[in-house]
Amino acid sequence: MAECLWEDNMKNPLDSITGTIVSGLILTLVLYMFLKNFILAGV
Amino acid sequence: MENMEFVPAFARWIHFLAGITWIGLLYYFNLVQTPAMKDATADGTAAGISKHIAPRALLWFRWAAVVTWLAGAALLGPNFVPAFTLQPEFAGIGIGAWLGTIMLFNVWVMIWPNQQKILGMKPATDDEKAKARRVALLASRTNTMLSIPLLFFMATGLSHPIV
Repeated sequence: MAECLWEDNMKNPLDSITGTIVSGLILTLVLYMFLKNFILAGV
Repeated sequence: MENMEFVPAFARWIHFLAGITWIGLLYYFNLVQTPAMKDATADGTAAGISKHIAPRALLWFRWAAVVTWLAGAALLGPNFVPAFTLQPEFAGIGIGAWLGTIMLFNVWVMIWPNQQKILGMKPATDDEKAKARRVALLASRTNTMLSIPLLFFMATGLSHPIV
């Protein structure tokens, strides 16, 4: 039941400009970590 | 300027000009036009935006996206494949290139066909227009989100020499 309640309350962050910008900043961090720790790790 | 330097310098210049046009219009849509449409619809002035402004903005938007991508590909030159296959020395700009490619796809496959329905350039029922509005909005917001890491990897030059 708790899982259902969570899903009902979920909102798409792209519905707001603020959510879009925060998502972009988080994605930047994720891709940076991916680059540093996976692609450039052995270089 | 040596001949060998001319092509990347020219490609970079065109890439910047077209990229500013593309991303500038993307930010205009997300930060200005879409929020303004709500108010314009409320006071009955939305038709002017839909008829005169949006089609012109979309024309420059979608073709600037193509020119940006082509100029970016020319700028990468022989490093095109190493960038897109995320070889370590070009991985940073490669991530940017992939993000730009996804954004170009969104413009031509997700945003433009749905905007044609919304603006009445293609026949559509009210239900189809409502669905088109949702898809176009989310695709446009996705591109705005992707532009943030895209510009980060372009600006920082992580892992790649300036090509």
